[in-house]
Amino acid sequence: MDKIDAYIFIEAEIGKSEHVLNELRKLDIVKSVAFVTGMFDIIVRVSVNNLEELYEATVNYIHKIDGVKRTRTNIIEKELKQEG
Amino acid sequence: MVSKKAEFYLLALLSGVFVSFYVLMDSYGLKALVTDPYVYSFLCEWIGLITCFLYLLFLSIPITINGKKRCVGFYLDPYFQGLKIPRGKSLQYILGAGLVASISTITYFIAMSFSDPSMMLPLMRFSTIYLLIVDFIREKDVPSAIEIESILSVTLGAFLVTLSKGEIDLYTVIITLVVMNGCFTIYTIFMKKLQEISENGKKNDSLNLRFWSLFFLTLFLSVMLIPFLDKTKIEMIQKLFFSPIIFLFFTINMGFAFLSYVMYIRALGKGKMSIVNAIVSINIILGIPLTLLGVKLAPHVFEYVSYDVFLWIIKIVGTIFVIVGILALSLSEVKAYILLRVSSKHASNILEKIFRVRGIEYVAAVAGDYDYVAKLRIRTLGKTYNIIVREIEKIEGILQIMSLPIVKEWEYP
Repeated sequence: MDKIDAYIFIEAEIGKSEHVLNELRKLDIVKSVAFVTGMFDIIVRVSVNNLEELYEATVNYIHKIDGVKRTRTNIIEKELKQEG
Repeated sequence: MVSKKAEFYLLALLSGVFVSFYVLMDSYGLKALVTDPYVYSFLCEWIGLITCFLYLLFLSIPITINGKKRCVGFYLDPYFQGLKIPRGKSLQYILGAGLVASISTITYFIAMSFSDPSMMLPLMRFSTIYLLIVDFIREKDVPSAIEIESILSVTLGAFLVTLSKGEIDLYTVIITLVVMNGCFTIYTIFMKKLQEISENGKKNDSLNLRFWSLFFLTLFLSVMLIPFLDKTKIEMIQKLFFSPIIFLFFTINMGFAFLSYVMYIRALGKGKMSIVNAIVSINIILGIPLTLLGVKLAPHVFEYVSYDVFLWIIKIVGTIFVIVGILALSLSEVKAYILLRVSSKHASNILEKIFRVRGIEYVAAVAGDYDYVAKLRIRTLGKTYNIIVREIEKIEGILQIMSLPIVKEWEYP
């Protein structure tokens, strides 16, 4: 069974982004975390086995982290990657 | 877990370290063991090829890592899956690489026989300049000021570090600059190409690339050496080939060469050719303590080393240039996420079109708020703007572009 990968864009409350970041890094399904500037504050890439797991992670974990204001989930359909 | 960037710099740095080890050994060997450069190169490459084959056999031993079947060589290159014979396009490039490498090897040994490592190391690094030009032609990209600055700083620094009082023979300089570095540049381009093509969906691994390019190098070299080998030289080869000390010396020497090439080829697969070569220049710094070590261990061989304070100050200034150049290169990198929305009537191959924009290292089609998520890696923010405005906007169907520069990022295996 193929894994489902998704990007979750997170907007954090002012002053709490560091805390959000540290909480996210504890999560097993998280493959990469990036701190960005612009409309969002944090971009997380997650890898899950099914949509149920993605729902669990977003609704029951990420949304409950103190400081998370808004999330936007984008499921990856197809990707191209440069080697190395 | 080592980040990708750290892995790239580590590979290139280690490659540089191993180069300085074998250059030091060559300079000792050519002065103390085998003084004839033709005999030396013949022995060196044949013994090197035999030991390289033995190393590969050892590295092909199957083991189990985390429940997966791998080879011992997995630790040196994750793509390694045992010895395999090159085919098709790969074979053509390996043949080409072997041919140019054999020419640069002969020139290296001839030049080495009447100069010393302090002169050879900077002359060997001149190919960085050639590769800089090739990289910019390949990527159809205007070099950023920081790239030119850093690479010049490294290369000029390298020249200062290795200044010596000895007479510089113009003939040696010309053949090393033109023939040796020219051939090495072509070798590097072929190796980079070999990393990009794959046969039957399998990527070429650095261990096989090193072995097969050495295999053809040795064959071509032997053919080229025939006119230079007279009866006395052939007798010398026969006698020395079976001498245990000579065999051990070349086994170690070519062991360092093996490691340095494997790391060099792997690094080439991960970044720009000129930058890999600039980082390899770190070995020039190491050349100072290694040469001093040589003086301690074999004073009669390294008698040319000077104790002039002025010369050493210049060398230290050169070292600083090299370090600053490499630091500037490694620190001046900007990454950004680019989020895109497209119109519903867009062309079907938009994913490939975005991927073809230079600087884009990753692109994904997503379902959600946006349609595409791309990742950009570039030297300066100014360039980011140029790429987004000029190239992505030109793609038909793009409605909205949002760029989010990355401040810091973590990756997990």
